[in-house]
Amino acid sequence: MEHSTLPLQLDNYLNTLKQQFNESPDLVQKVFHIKGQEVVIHFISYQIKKDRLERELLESLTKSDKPWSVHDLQNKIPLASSQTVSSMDQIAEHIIHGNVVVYLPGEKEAVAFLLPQQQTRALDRAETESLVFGPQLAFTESLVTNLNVIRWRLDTDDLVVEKLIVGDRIKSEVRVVYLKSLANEENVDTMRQRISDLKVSEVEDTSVLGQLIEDSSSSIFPQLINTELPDRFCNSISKGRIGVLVDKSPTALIGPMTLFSFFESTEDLYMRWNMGTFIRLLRFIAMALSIILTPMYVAALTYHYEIIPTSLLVSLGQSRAMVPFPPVLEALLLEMLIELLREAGARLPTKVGQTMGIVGGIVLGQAAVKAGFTSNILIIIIALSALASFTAPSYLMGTAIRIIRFPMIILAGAWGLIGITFALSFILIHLLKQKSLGRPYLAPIYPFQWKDINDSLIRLPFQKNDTRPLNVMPEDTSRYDQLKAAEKKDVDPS
Amino acid sequence: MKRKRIILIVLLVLICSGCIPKSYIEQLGIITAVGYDMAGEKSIRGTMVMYQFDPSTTSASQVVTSEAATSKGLRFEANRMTSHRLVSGQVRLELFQDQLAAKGMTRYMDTLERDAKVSDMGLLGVSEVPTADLLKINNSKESSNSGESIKKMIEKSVDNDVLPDATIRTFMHDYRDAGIDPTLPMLSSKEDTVMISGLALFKDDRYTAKISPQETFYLLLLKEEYKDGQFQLQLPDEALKEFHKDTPGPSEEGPLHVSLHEIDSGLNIQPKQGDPTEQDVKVTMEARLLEITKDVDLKNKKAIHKLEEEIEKKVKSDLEQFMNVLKENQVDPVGFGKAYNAKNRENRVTNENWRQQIPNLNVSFDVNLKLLRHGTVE
Repeated sequence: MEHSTLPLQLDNYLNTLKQQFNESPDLVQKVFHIKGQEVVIHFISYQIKKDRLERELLESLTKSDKPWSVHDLQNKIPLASSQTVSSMDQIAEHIIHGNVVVYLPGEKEAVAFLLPQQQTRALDRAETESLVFGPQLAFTESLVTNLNVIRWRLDTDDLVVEKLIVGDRIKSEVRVVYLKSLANEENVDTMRQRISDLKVSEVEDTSVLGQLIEDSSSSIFPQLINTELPDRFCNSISKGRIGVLVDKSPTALIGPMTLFSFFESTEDLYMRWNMGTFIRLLRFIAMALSIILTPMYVAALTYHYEIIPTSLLVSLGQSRAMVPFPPVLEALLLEMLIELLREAGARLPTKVGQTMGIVGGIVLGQAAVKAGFTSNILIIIIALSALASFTAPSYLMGTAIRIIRFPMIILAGAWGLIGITFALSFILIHLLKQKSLGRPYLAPIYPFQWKDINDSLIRLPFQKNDTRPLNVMPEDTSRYDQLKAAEKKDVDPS
Repeated sequence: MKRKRIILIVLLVLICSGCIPKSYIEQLGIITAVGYDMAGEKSIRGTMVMYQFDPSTTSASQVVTSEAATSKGLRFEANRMTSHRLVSGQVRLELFQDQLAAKGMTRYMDTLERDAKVSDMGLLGVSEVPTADLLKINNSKESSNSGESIKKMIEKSVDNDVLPDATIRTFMHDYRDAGIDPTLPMLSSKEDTVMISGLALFKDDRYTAKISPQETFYLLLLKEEYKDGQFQLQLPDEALKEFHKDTPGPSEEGPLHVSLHEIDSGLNIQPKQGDPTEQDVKVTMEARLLEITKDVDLKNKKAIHKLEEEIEKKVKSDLEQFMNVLKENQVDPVGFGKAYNAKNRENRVTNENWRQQIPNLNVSFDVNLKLLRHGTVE
C-alpha cells in the first residue's frame, strides 16, 4: 500500500483503511468533532463490546474540555489496555482483534483500546474423554478461558506460560505451559523449537499442531497426547511434562509421552489403587485382544485348524459351513460393518444415532448370521474387539488400534500365524524406534526402568508412588518421602 | 529406497501367499480318532472318526473305514470315500487292536511322531475287540462322536489316578528310555458300551500282557505318587474278629471288604549300589476309610491300628504277587532299571541287558499305611 505509514490527513486516512478492509461493511468509521478537533474512531461492530465503548470510551472522549493529544488519550481515558500503533497494517490487525482505534488526523500514532467481545461457549462437561469419577470440566475453544482454568488448578508462580505465534497467513496464538522447576530444559527447548520453526500458513487445531511437530508424523501411533481434560493436562504438567495450548482449539497437547500413557486415565488415580491397577491392566489386555482376536480367527480357520480346541471345533465348523466366503473376506466384511456403524453413529444426529446403533448392531448382526453371511462366533469376536478398542482413554490411540487390525487381518489371511507374527514383530520394531520429543516411546519397558513400571503399567498406592516418571527426565524426580507420606496421626478424642 | 522396500514387501505377500495351501475348516474332514485293526498278513484296516461340516446335515460326525498297507495309505484310501479332504491335525486318540499291537507299535508310532500335525499329547489305547467295532458304537446319542467320548473316558481315568499317563509323548519316552517299559490303557466293549478293561503291558513296543484294574492300582502305587486315589481291598474274613461289635449286625457274615479314599501315597525306590536287581521299595500311604463291610468298633484305637496292619500286610503280599506277574512277562513298567540308572554310574542298565535281568529282580517292600479319618463321630 502506498500510504501505509502515519501521519496521514483525514480523507486519505479513511480511504486507506477502507481499502485495507476490502470495503467491508462491518468496519465502522466515525469522525467526532470535539472542541474543533477531528477525532476518528473505528472498530468492527461485532468484535467489540458496544456498551463499554459508549460508557468508558466515548463518554470521556467527548467530555474533554481541551483538544486531545496521543499522550492524553493513553493516560486520561479509563481503559487499562491501550497501545499506540503507527502503521496501517498494525491498525488493521488491532481492529480485527477487537480493538477500538482512535486516531487524531495528522498525528504520528494512533491509540488502540482493547474492548474485545468473543463469542465463546461456557465451560462444559467432557464429551470424548468422559470420566465416571473425578473432575468433569473440559477445555473450551477460548485460550483465555483455558489458561484461566489452568492457572486456577496450578496456582503456583512456578508455572511458566510462553507465548508463540504460528501461521504465516492466519496467525494462531500458541502457549507452551510447564513448571519451571520440574520440566526438563531440553524437552522445553525441543517443544519451543519445533513450534517456532513451523513454516505453515495456518494451524487449524491443536491436533493439527500435534501432527506437525510430532517426531514421526507417518506413524500410526500418536506421540503426543491430545486431551480435553484440564485435570489430565495439569496432572501431566505436575509430573514434569510440557503442555501446549492453541487458541480456538478445545484440546491441549502434552508431551513427551510413552505408549503406555495413552492407556492411563486420571480416573485410575481417583479410584483406589487396586481398582486403578485392575482397570489399567484391563485396558492393556483389551488392546491386545482387539488387535489379535480377529486375525487369530482368520488364521486358525484358514490354515491352522489344528490349534482350534476340540470342544470348539464343532460349533465353529458348523457355523462356518453356512458361510460362502473365505474367512478373510468374512472378517473384513464384518469389520467394515462395525466401522460403518461407528462412523454413522458419529455423523448422525444424536437421536437418530441411537436408533441406528440398535438397527445396525442387533438387526444387522442377527440377520447376517441367519442369512449365512457370517458365522456367529465371528460376530462375537468382532464385537468384542470393537468394544475393546473403545476402552483406550485416548480417542486417537483407539482409532490407531482399530486401523492396525485391517492389515493384520489381511496378513493373517495371506500367511496365517506367520503373518500375524510378522505383523506383531513389525509393530514392535516400529514402536521401539519411536520417540516422543526425543524421549523413548516404549519406556519403561524399553529402556527398562523399574521405578516407572508403577504408574504406567500398574498403579501402586500413593505412598509407594514417590517418583515422577523418569523417562520424562524431570529436574526433580522425587515427589515425596515414602515414609512421611504414609505417616498417620490420630487425635484421640478426649 | 523406503518405497522400494514397501513395494517389495507387498509383492512378497501377494506372491508367497500363493504358496501356502489353504485349509478352510468347512472344506475338511477333520479326523479326531483313528483305530487300527489287522486286516490280513500285510495290510491293516483303519477306522477314522471325523467331523465333516455340511450345512444340510445336523450330525457333523462320521466314521469311515479303509484298508491299506501303511497308516498314511489308510487316509489316502479313505479320501476316496469322503466329500471333504481328510486331515489328521486334530487326531487326539489312536487305538490299536491287541493283535496288531502284539506285532510291534513302532512302525505306526514313528509316523505319528514324525507327523508335525499330530499332537504329541494325543492319547493311545489298545483294544481287545476290533477297533472298528469300538469306534462305531454310538452309546450316547448326545455326543455323537465316539472317538471323543473314548478320549474323554481315558483322560478322566488318568486324571483320577486310575490309569497311568497314556499320551504319545509318554509312550515314546518310556519306550526309548532304558530300564522302563511303556503301558497303555486296554479297552473293551460290553453290551454296546466301551469300557476300560485294564492295562496293556508292553515289552519294548510289543503288547505282551494285560493286567486287571486291581493290578493297575499296584502298578500306579509303584510308578507315581497318588494325590487323590481310591481303592477297594478284600481282607481275610476273620482278621478283625476281636473288634467286632457285640450286637451281631446283618453284615456279620461274608468277606471283609475295605474301601479306601483320598489316598495320598509316597514312594521311595532304593536300588542297591552296583546291583540293579536288588531293590528296596518304601511305600507310605495316607488314606481315609470310607467303607467297611463288617461291624467293627472303629472308636477303638487298637481296632484302627489292627486294621492298618492288616491292610499293610495285604498290600505287601499283593505287591509281591504283582512283581511275579512282571517277572513272568519280563517287563518292567515300573521303571526299576531306570531308578537304578538315576542313582548309579556303574554297571548301568541298558535296553539290551535289562530284559534278561528282570526275572532275577528281587524287590523287598515296606508298606506303611495311616488311616487319617474313618468317618466315625465320637
